[in-house]
Amino acid sequence: MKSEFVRVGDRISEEIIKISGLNSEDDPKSMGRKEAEKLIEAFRKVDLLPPPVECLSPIGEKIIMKSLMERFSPEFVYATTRKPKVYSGHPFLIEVGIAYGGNIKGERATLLRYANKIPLLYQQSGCALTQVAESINWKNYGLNQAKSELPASPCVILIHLASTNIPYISESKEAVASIPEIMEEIRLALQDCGRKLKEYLERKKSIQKRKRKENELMRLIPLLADKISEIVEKERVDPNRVIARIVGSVYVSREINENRSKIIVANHSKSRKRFRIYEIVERTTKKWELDLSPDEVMEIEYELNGKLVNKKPLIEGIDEVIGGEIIGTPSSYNEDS
Amino acid sequence: MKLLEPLQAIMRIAEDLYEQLKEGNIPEIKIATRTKSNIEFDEESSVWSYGDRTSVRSAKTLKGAYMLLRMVHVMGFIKEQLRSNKSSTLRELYYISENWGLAKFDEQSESDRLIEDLEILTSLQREHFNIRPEEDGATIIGPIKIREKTRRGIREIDCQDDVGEGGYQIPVNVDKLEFVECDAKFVIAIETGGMKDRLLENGFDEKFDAILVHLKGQPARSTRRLLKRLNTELNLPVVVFTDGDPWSYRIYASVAYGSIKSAHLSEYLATPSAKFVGIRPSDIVKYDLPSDKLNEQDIKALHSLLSDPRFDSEFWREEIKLQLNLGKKSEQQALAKYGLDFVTDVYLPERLRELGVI
Repeated sequence: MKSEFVRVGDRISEEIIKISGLNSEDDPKSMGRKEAEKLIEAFRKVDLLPPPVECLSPIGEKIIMKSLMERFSPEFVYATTRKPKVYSGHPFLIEVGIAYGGNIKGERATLLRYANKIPLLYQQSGCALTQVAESINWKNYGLNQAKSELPASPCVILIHLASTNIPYISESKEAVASIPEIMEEIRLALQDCGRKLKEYLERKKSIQKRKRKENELMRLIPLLADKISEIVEKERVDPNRVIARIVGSVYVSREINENRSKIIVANHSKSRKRFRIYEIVERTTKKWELDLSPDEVMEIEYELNGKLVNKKPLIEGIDEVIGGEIIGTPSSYNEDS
Repeated sequence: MKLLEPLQAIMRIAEDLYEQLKEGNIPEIKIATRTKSNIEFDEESSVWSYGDRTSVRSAKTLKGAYMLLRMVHVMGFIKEQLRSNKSSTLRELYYISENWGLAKFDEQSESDRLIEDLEILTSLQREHFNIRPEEDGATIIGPIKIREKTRRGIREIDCQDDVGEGGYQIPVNVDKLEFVECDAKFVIAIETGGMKDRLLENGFDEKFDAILVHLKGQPARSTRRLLKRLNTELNLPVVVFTDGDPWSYRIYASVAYGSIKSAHLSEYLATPSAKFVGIRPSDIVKYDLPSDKLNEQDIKALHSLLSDPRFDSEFWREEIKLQLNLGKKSEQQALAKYGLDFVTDVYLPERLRELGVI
């Protein structure tokens, strides 16, 4: 017994024999039907260790995410590898990946099924992997879905079943049978991915909401400034500083007095900002390196010995500024701290 | 606080906003909080006015930004109107905002509210901005002679002999009226037209020398101002006769204590000595009146009255709790159960004697 089964040692084999009521000296070859039944009965009663999992070959979360990213260019991707489990003595593990949005178009999710890294191409509807994916209530995770169907949103769902024995429903090896242990693991993996997707969608929604609010305020505040200036019959007040304060961004303004130019820079964001400011006077370019903490204001004054070429001060290193003009790519330079 | 000229007062708010923008500060306006939690009893004038709590309307939020943009437009409109010496109604102001793009009002209640905000901010009244309400059709009938300056000259009107069945319509600007002669002993303000007609038909005004004022639901400022003037200038007691439901108690409260919406004008509009005739919840029991079941809103409104400082008296607490227990409300007309004359022959005389009015 010890040599034929994995993970069965002296202690467990003795226990099995004791429960079955057989003699440890008996020759297995001489055992009849009755003895064999007793033995099987005993197997069921004993706590057996799960089989080893070195024999399973998962793809891995990183590779799933990377390949989904490469293949579909989505805006969101996530993957999970579950711990190995056992059904009828066969070890198996489930991996699920999900990709959402971006270049994925269409109003119906695509399901990719894999068994031991081999894609399953046919009999999708008869497969346990599909059934579980359809049974999930995807609406809970921010996707659209008609009852008991795959989500009606632009996404790709990948399910991989790795096992020493894939329970196909037929010889053609096209679909996996409905084994409760396997289905439960798939369900948990899908839900895990769903939760991550939901977090992403909610974050996206709140950012969009904030953006919309900011855009609306950026339309309202100048109107307010115009009207109030008209009523008090004074020079039109510049609303940009207030807008920068409200939306939390960097503010730049330039005042020219005879032949001196003064630039006011204020960081109204919540993070430290490092960036460069350029002014082009005739043929020379002036450059300043700035490093502003939140709410820090700085004034730059310089002699204007020629004509200014650029209309607004040029800013490099950040992607949002009010009152200046952005040049260059921000990501290579600035990081918020 | 010294009152400024209306134009000056408006311009001062505008200048303040302009300066805030110029300094690069997010513009905001501080204004008295207009809820029942911020009204206080003023011992001196015995009316309820706004307390010290203020709310800030800031352009930081969308709601605040819209409010400020609209307010600025309204101020511009008032400025032009005062300069060209024109006037307009609240409804016209609402329609004029059609041309204000994003500052357009969605409902008239919004523009009405903004005018009230400006009243609070300037300690003035909308009439000072040449903005008037629509006539709301409230009427008065009884032994009093009034002198009114009309577009066709000065008229003297006897509110009993010179008017038709409908009575004399209370004009928008009550302060321009003069009381010439008055034989009345008290004023009874009535919520519904049906009950006013009943009292007239039964000759209540002649028999008891009463002035009947038809409130037409929640009374307009002009109606409340007229009641206040009759009370203070002619020393006439005022009583209020309404249906027996929470909304009607609010009508009484706005006459006697001042309304929450215009608590900044309570001193000018409220009649603290006004007494509540009924229908009281205890009347429903006493006279076994026909009644309707309280609906959900009624119950909510009653509970809200219990936390309203204006109703924080033993009389009201007991009546409101009784009504909640009964689960019933009754209309004025329910008194007709005992015949059409019951209200003028029994109910009112009994109650008015109790209140010491007759």
